[in-house]
Amino acid sequence: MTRRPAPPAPAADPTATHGPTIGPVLSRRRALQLVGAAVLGATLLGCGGDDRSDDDATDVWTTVADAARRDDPTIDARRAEAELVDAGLDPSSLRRDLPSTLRRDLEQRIRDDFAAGRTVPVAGWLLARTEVLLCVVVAEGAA
Amino acid sequence: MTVTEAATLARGARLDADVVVVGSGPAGLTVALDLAGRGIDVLVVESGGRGVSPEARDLDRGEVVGEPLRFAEAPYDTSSMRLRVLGGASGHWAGMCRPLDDLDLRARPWIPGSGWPIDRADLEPWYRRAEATLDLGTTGWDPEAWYERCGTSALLPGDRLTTTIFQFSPPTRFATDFERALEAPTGPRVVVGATAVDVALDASGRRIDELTLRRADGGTLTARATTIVLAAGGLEVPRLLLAWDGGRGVATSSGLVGLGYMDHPHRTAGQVRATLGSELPPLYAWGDAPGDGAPAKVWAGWSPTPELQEAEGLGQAVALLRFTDALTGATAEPTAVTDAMGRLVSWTIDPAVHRAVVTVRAEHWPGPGSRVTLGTDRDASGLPRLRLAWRPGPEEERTMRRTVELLAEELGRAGLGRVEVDPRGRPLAEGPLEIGCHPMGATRMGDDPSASVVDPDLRAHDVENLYVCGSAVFPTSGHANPTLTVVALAHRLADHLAGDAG
Repeated sequence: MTRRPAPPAPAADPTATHGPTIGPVLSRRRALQLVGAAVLGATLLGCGGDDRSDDDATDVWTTVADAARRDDPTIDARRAEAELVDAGLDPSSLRRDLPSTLRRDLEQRIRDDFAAGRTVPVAGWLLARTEVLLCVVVAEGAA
Repeated sequence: MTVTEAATLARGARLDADVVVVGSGPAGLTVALDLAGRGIDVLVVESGGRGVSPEARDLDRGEVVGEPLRFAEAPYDTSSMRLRVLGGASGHWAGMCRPLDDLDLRARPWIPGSGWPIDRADLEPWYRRAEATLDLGTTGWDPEAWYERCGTSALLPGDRLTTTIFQFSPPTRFATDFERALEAPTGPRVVVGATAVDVALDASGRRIDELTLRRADGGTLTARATTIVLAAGGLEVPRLLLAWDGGRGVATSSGLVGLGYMDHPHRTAGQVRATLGSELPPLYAWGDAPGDGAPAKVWAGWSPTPELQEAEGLGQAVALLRFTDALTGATAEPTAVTDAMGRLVSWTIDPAVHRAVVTVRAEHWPGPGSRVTLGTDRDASGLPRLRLAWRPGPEEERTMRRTVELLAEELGRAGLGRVEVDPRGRPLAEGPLEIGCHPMGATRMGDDPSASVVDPDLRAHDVENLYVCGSAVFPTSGHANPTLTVVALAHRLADHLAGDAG
């Protein structure tokens, strides 16, 4: 399993500029780190079950995120997270209703993306914008 | 009646019949068997023999000046597209069948040259007969009938894609499956090893008086008939019409013989990772159809709906999934991303995660860019070799890519899977482009003699006793394999000619 070297720790949380309206950023990021891989694994592709390791999951998100950034260098974790927040994804729900609410919410958002043509080509694969953004955010958090 | 080798006939022999059919493939033998069954004296002349020979195959060698021909992931040439033998192309036909849709025969403002001079409903009775000729089942083409038979439902319901049903003939091999009918006393006479190299017109120039047939040893025969049916295949029909009458051409007053050539462009998009249930859905993987009803092999894909085609200015197309655990070819080489996609799906509770590749096929828009002309070299029979320019354009590429994109969007919307639209990130349009070995369109059917070669009855506008039968008369190609429509048109022509005879 190939892994990217961990990037140097940021001096300050770059997402802090998003302000308080969506809850504590650090908690949000931590929550994504903790549950992102598991929830995404169950959500992407409409799949259920998550009996694999978080390491496996992290590797997948990283691969997808890296590919997405190669295709569109403007995608980064900060912008991805901001876009998700702007789209109404409330990461505070991670703390309240894990995992069923988030799973349903994400799954629906992903399906809606496909229905509306909000898709992103990633290394030739056509993925929902929401799932690509989540991969970027989660991969960065897990790195 | 009997199948006779031309070489056993006396040089210079003259053969007479009510109807001479040039070509013994699905079109020619269907017309011939239908007419002979009604007591009409029919002579079939076939250039090839009872078996395939290198000499006969060489007659199909030609020059390719357009897009290089590829088929089944390999370079192809014109001699591989045809089969000059008793039974014609049915000898190597895969059997894939589907009728044309209503839309295919309609004039579509966004596709120049579209519109047949007959309605789809007009063809219905002959499609039913063609289905019987080709040993197809009786479940039909309505997806709902197949859902009911297979105990399933539409995998991708919605208003953007429609399920498209293909059925497979066993396949019918005309030379062997109809051998008894050909050998019966009431069957047509068949002469093999006789190439129709020329015709002589009468003084009016509007009737064919005589056909000149050439044997492999150079000896000639002649054939005379009240009616000539040219059913030599989508490449050979325009070639012969351009070459006959001593090279002046026959039925060429419109200038359209050879123009508007079509063959379905195919591309293999990338892979699919899909969770479609614990078993492969019975319709969407090629194979035996389950459920009650006549045995049938079926394969369903997805096509943009007529409404979406009109809204987005697309042609007809179909995307089909090829499921396999042993994917081959360049698109099967693993990469980090395909591996990641596979593992995303492998985390499902249901272990039946399917790997597939997407093949997309589009309608070839009729136009002047693709055509059959005559080369300068001649073959052993003395006919100029054909020169083929096949050039699908940007509209076909746009249609193919959009169709795969729609499949990706709809599978994602249904929560069923993800699709690699551009294999390995390389744009779909930059990958290998393949033909379907479906030569069509170079002697189009129409009402207007200045804009078509044959009339709606398939009679040449210029030559009153010459009919053309086969895919060459298609004004547009749809996306469906042509053989079922070819056989339907052949039954229809036989009925027309029998009516004329009566």
